[in-house]
Amino acid sequence: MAGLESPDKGVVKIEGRPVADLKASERAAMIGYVIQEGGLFPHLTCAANALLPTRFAGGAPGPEAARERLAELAELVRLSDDQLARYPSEVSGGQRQRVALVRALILDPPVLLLDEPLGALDPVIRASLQVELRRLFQTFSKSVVLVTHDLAEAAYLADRIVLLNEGKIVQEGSPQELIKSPANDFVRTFVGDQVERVRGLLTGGGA
Amino acid sequence: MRWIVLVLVTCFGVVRAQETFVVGSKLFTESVVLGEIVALAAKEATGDVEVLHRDQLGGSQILFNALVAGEIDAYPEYTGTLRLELLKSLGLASDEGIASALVERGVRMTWPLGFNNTYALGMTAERARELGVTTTSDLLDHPDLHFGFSNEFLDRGDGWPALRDAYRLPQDRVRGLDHALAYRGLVAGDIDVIDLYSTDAEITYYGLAVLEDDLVFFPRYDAVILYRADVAQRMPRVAAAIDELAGSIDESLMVSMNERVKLSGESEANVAGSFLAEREGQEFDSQATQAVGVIGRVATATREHAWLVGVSMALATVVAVPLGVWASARPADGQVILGIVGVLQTIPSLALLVVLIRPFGVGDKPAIAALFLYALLPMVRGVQAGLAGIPASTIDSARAIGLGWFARLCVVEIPLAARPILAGIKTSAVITVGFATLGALIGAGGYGKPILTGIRLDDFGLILEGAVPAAVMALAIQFAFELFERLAIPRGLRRGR
Repeated sequence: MAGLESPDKGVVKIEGRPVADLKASERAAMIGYVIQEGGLFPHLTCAANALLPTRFAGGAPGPEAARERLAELAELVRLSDDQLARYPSEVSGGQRQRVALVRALILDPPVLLLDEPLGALDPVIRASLQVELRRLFQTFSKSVVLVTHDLAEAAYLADRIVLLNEGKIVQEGSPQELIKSPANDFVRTFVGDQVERVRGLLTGGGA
Repeated sequence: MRWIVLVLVTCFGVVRAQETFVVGSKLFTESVVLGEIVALAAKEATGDVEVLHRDQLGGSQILFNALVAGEIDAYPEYTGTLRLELLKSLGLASDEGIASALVERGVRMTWPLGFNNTYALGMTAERARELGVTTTSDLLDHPDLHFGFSNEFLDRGDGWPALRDAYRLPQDRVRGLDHALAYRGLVAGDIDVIDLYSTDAEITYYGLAVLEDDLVFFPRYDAVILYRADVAQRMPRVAAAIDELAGSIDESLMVSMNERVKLSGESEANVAGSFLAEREGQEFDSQATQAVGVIGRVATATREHAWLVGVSMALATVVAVPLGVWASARPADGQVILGIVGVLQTIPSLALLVVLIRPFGVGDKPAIAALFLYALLPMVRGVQAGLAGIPASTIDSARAIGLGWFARLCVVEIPLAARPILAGIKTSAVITVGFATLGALIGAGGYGKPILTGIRLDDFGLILEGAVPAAVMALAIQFAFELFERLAIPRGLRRGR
């Protein structure tokens, strides 16, 4: 979807344009992308990492505007200037993911693609970041596509869940629909294993 | 990278006078002395010509080709060498035809200087007596003797192969080595028979037995000076001064001049200066030709050496980095690229230097070309390995951010691979400092020159004068790279990796 791999079949379109036809710089302005480990560059400071897209993408803001935007986003994800001045190896895993998120948002893309953004974090940090992500997603109006193996996380963060098995869509719908009327045994087993945690999150965290 | 450019800039700026007269000489003492005499005579004859003596430039073929190509204007040669080696293809039966054959090549030859420096075979007197050898034919009875010949004699048309055929010599324990070292090997007993130049000072010094050439195989090697025909037009007074040298040096004078340099440690310039002064009946003032002091010599050698290393490294970096990028981007091509630069590394250095004289002439250019080729392997490998070691997820991340191929390379990949890349360049630079000493063999100067002269004159101090600064330069480069690495590699790459 981020245009890194060409599709075997079908077309991914954003605002009516096939992603595969976009130039790398245009694509970056359309899709903000966070990969599993954050994908930060170790030789650049957190701030330089976050600002990197503004140096190359099409229609990017000037350096002044970019720095302002960085400050806004940093505040939003609670990163201090001091943390931004450090190298990725000098901050915690959770902070690295926040930097990656800032980087994905720096060009204000209409679409945000998160590929298991919390997968590599320990459960405590993971839980608190989930809360923050949910708050963030509600703050700005963007289409967010989040890939996760954790149904609870998906149910907590998303309005709509698409369950994939071996690259094919098995069921699509709201979290409640998946729980109440699973389409087949695969969904039933998958949901059944995690249903207690999903319920807990939905009632506890969402209140 | 920036410091290399700096070195380049500081190394340019060699300004030449309008008219320059360049004398060359071969790798042995007599040739250097004669070259010095020609240079001094030229200097005395005229005030407005800059005279350079590029001493110890190489062997006969290298000097002769350099003369014909106009890289040097004059050098001392021997008629036998001209007839049987340099003009071999003409098949001249006597020395008569040499001068006219040379004129066709734009070269003029003086009349003989007055001595014949022919080849001969020699043994220590003791060993010769022991075996009862007095003539070359006597060697037929001793097939087990060890022969040690100067490399040029070993290969020349008028050298060992022809001598062996003429006398039907059965010995097969023959090795090539430097002429000055051959004497030491002979005295030490490692070698039984060596080739001699009949005017060598060592013959009397070591009391050697000169084997009679009973079949009269060796021709006359009358010393002459060759100079380019255009010298007569461009600077007639220089040409006249060279012509005047004919008939002025007899065999005993040449032997004694060789002796003063090799055995008494006088400088060639001193010996040449006193010869010219005596010829004109003047008192020779040795102060006037006082050789440059150690510091001046080391400074010159350092400048020359830094030039060889700096230029070859700069060129190699410019070529190796793109090659390394290419090799890592397309592994199939990478195999071929690494294969080719690897094969380059296996070419023997001396062979490569001599091959490169053909397109580049003598001097620093072929040396720089050779050093450049040798420097490629560690650099290309460093770049390729560094880039290949970057995790795929990092590359994906850079693509997702919208970095194009070139931006990704400059902003992400090369900085991330900075360490192995710098390590490759550093390895190359340190190796190149050592290799560059071989440049002296083809007139490139540098630290190799005092080493070469030291070997020729058996002067250990002079050898150290080249070897010690070379080691210091290698260490300095190593240190500079480590400092640069400390400053240039960001903190984020140093920790936890």
